[in-house]
Amino acid sequence: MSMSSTTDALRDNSNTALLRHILSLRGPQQQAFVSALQECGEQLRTDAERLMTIVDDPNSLPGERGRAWNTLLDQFHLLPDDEGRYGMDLARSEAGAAQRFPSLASEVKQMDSQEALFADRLRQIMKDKNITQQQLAERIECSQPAISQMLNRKCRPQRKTLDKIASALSVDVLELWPDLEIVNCMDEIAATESDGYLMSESEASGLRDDSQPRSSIRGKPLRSRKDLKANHG
Amino acid sequence: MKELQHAEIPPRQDVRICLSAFRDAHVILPRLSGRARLRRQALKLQWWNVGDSQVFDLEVHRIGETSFWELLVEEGYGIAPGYRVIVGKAEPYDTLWIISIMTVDEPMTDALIEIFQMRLNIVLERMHVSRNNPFGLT
Repeated sequence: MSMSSTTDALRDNSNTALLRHILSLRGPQQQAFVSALQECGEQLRTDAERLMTIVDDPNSLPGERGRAWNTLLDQFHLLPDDEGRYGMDLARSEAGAAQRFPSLASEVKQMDSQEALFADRLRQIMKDKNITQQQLAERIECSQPAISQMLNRKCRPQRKTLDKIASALSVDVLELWPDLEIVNCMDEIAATESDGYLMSESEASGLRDDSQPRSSIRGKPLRSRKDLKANHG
Repeated sequence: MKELQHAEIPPRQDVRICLSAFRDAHVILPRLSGRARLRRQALKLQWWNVGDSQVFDLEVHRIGETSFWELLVEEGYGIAPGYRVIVGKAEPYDTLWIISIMTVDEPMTDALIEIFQMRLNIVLERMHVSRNNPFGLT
């Protein structure tokens, strides 16, 4: 089937959102999109039309529109993993990605080290206090296999689980988890950024660095989010 | 203390992530460190028994009457108060598929559930495709 006959066939289709999208693409992009559409099964073709409708709908939420786009991209790109299968194996993807990205490798190393240190500390405290896995599991309303996996470094505890374990063992949470001071500090920074607090002019002046010569270029002051909301509301 | 030396529990199933869910993760968690930490939590799904409301220290909820489940990660990584890992099974196969990643404060709408089903359709159509068998012929 030639390109023009394919687009003609699509023009006859009632779904205008998908058609408009295809017609808006140029040359090789349009060809690739149409080829992918022809290649996939009837169900996925119908799904593609519905996804375009979600993307086009002005009432769609940003999360819906974004996910609809991501689904379309997934639908029209065959990307088998290293073993030649669709998708990615979650357990293996970490090691694979860490080999390619040094920053991830150091992150993985740090997580491994945190989990190992936590397991050692937990094991020692449980031994000192003569507490079994079952007893600890009951105290923190968790299963015994979860404790076993934590001790085997196969289960990274959530922050709230750490707090529960610390409370159950009557120890400070800092005795269990390395780097927790840094995590707390980062959480506080994130909380400050999202609490809507506005810095006063005097506070801002206090933080200003006047040691460097200032640019003579003066921009317009930004409008506040409150004013923008009021104008659009 | 012998009780502290339990053997590792072998994983119950493979967990795979579809490409669109991977893209979702990049959108809501732009920092690599956040994604790495979320992945560690999502890996617990290897030991999840479909239907259980908990896997280790994480809660799992069924999404309404659908065949999708959400793993609730109550850690913020400085961006959102927590995350939801949406999973489903492409029956009759055992592999568990991560279909999407959401923040806990995002509303779960009918359109999103429809999109999850469409993602599962892609999994069903594409899971037989490989480099050796590019057209998925059986």
